[in-house]
Amino acid sequence: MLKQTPAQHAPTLGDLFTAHYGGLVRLAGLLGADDPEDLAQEAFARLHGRTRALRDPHAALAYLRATVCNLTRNRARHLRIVRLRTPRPAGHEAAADQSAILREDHRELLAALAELPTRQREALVMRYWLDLSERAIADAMGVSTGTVKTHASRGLAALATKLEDKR
Amino acid sequence: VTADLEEELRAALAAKADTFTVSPDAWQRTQRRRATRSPARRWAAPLAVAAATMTVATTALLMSGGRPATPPTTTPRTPARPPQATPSAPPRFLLTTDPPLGKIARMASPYGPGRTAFFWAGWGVVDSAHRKAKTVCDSTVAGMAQGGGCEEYRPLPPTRIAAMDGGDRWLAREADPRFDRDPAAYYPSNFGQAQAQVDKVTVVLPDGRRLPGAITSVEHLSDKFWWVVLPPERLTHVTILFADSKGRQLAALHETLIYVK
Repeated sequence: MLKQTPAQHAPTLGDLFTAHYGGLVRLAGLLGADDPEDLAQEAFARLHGRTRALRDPHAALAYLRATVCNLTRNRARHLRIVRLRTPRPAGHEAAADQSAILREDHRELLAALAELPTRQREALVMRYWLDLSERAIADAMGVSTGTVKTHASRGLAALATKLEDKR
Repeated sequence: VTADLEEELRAALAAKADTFTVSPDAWQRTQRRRATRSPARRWAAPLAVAAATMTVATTALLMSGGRPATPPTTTPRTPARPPQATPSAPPRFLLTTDPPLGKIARMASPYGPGRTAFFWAGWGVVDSAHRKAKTVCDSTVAGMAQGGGCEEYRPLPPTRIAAMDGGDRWLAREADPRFDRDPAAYYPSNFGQAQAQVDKVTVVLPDGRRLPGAITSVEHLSDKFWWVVLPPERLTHVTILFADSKGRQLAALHETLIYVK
């Protein structure tokens, strides 16, 4: 998880990588990235050289989260065009071995989550997986806190409806 | 109920998160990326790309065409303003990620408002392991909206006359409200490969209407590439006819159209 830690000194990119790389890979994966590691690495590569963000670990983490959100959103948008060229095989979203270890009810819920509009999915993932405040979610998504509330409540309602329809 | 759902969601997300693993060389790969990065990345989003939203399921490739006609299921939305000037080049981001190996083939819209399709042979990264290979790139441009993609080039097998590679339908409202003024944004299109002997492409709509398609050769690619623009209606299916230079029909491609938006 992407937990924030108090800064004892200005962290290096290596420090931030050690602390947060795994969490950012998971965040990208939960947001639907097709190659979560690629996006997380790109986020760190973009952080390099941003000395102001690097001096403040909170700012750095917020920057990394926002970058992962943006990259995932843009990547998905671009891939929608590319993927039209080659039909997606069934079960592409998760590898078979990964699906096997998820409970049936979890799979159902995650499938419904994946069908939500991107912004609703982002709000729900960051609220219920990262336990972020609305302010932090708003920073990562680049929207207002009011918009976060709207996306989260609509997303939750849509999830409930989808699950009712399926069950 | 909401509290239960929230707890269920927390548990599902936590379980799913545990399925993502990291590679042992992730730090080295990130450092390499920093050292060798270029200004534009293969998957960088275009500034004005409008996402494609129509998926196309190939139902059959037959040597004779036609299927019973049915009327269109919905009515078109009427655009408010005339088409804008058509750009003369494909989006820069595609030219950067997959530089052309030869000339860029350009086709004017065979039907509907002014649009342009570009096809070219490129050289670019084709998988997540960063392997490079010859690619085929396509880009359809409608006024301000630009989009496209590249993927590894695989010639058609000799037994197959034609195939559909993809399609697009501009998401004008979602991408940028300014696209709402662009009539071309409402016309979906399909494109694909065909054997070199194919010279003419025609699309047959469910109600029997016939629309011309376009086809072109592309330098460094053995197959030709075709493009059809469809009316802004929710069509259940179309038939695309392929003929040689003497007008003999060589193949018919039946496509079921599934609109995801």
